[in-house]
Amino acid sequence: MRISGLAARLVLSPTVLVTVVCFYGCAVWTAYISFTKSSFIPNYTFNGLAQYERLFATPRWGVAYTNMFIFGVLLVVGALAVGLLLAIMIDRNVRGEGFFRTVMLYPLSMSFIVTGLAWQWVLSPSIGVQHFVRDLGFPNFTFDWIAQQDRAIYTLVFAGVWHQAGLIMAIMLAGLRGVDRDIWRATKVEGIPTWRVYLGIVLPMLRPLVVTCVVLLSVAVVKSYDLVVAMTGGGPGFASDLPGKFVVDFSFERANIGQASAAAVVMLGSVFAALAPYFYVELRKRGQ
Amino acid sequence: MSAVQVRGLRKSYGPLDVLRNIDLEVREGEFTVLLGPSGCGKSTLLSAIAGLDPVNAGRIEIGGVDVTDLDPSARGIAMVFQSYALYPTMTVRNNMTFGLRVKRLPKAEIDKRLTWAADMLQLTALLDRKPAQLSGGQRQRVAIGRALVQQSRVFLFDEPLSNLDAKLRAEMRVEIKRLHRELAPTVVYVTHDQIEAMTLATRIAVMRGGQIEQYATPDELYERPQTLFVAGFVGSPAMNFLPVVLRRNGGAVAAELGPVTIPLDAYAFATPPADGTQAIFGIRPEHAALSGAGVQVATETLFMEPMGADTLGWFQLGTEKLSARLAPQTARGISGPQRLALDIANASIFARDTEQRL
Repeated sequence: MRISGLAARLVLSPTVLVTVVCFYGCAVWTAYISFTKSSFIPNYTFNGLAQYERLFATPRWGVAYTNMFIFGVLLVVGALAVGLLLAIMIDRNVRGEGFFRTVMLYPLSMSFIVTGLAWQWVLSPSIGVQHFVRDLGFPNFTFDWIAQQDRAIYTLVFAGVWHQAGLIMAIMLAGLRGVDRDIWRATKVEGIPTWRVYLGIVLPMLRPLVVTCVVLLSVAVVKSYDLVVAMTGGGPGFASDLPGKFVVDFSFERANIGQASAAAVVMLGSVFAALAPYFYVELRKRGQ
Repeated sequence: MSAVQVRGLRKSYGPLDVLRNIDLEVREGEFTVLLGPSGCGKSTLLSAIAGLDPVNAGRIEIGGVDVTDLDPSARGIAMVFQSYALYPTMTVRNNMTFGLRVKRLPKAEIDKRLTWAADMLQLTALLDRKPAQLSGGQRQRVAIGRALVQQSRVFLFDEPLSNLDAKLRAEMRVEIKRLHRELAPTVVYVTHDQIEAMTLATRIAVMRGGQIEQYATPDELYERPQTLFVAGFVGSPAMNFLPVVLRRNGGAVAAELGPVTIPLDAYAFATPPADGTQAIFGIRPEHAALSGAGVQVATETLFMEPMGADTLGWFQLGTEKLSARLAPQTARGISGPQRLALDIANASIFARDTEQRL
């Protein structure tokens, strides 16, 4: 008993060590750096909130920070909606279920880099959809969101939803398959229309799965760096910048570790602030 | 007037015939039980009546209207399922009223029906609970309540008690019987439990292999089973079956079981059998006694099976075993050769080839 307990501790200790040092340790170190005078190299002179004041005075940060919320909300809602609709479609016993399931899950097997490049080409005005439709004989057709300052961020949402919807579909489909067949039969005898069954009975039953999906999608939002880099490079200008890219750019290209740390801490705080109330409500409900 | 009428119903899954030419008539206010072993087609028949599964041929009428091609909700039925099929995220109140609200019934009417059904089933205190907070019996009552508020003419029950433990099952049986007495709805009820069938039904349809073997009152079914299968399926402990050859001697018929001859003068044959007919002689354990009138046969005591109220005594008759239902006091200390008195008037005799009653 003692030996096996010891063995378990030994086996687990590297993981625990890595978690404590690399995740929590680095997070604490980053937070500390953000309150110092650091710029190119770490400088441990305490400097109050100066880094934050400067950060929020930077226009590029303002854009990136707002974009995170636009991108986040639209991606979570969009991927959930599309994934769910796909799952319901498949659950309605379409022919060739296996084929569609694979097709829809396929985007997930590609990295965000590939996704971003592919969508960059598809949406590029000179070679993508716009070019194609114009060649079909509609010379005035215009679809150049990716090149517009105020639209570029939505093209990232397209690509993100395309990439993530398959995963949501797979999770939701598993949930739909778990619904007791007799429940469907009971609603048929009662004459409840199919859409009311989904909205009123089936979706509420899938609530725990929705929570899981929201977590997975939120993680995708926060860590989305590669998608931006590959697809828009944060442009035009820095119109489609996201905090992740901002932090990496400032740490390595601009060599301003103080600004990067402050941005990272704001990002972490925002994620907590956005998700905490949701999890509080959901987890309390399940506890009951 | 018949509430449910099924004619020439056929259903098959590919080469497998699940229902073969089913005819069934359920009268207004009748409690019909579809009884049979697993895979006999009883649940399929119920689904067909409900309209949940398409059929290959035949006609279904409910309340005199041809509903063969109608949706389940247009058939004027309510249904209770084996798994209860409650909506897990809704309270009991919403479970019972969701269908009515979807149909946009006036709120006053919904409340009236809910109060009535909750009162009927003692659910009033539970209305704001979720299904997960209820016991199995309570869940089944909610499922019945959800069927009641629809105020349909016909109720369909698909093995509603088989997920409950034995004690709850007995309680719910009484509950369902009371509901039927008070509301007198037409009921079609599927079960594989013969005790449920015997206690609840006004008529029982025993099914096997997609066909109805016999459709009769519980008494008729028990006392005069039409086929060997019905005789063996209904009744516990089971009926004794002895392979015999029928011998005619003038007007008198006797059964030959090896060296033993059982005169059958008291048995009412539908048609007098030919001499030498291969037959099965069936007699229930309670119609074999240690004393009294009836045909006497010589047996050897084998062993006793005490069952509480009765003891089942096993005796060797020629080459066969025969059980008799005995009073526990009588059964104690019995051994050696015994004479058993068989009540031939209550016996059942079947042809060995057709398995039909003779």
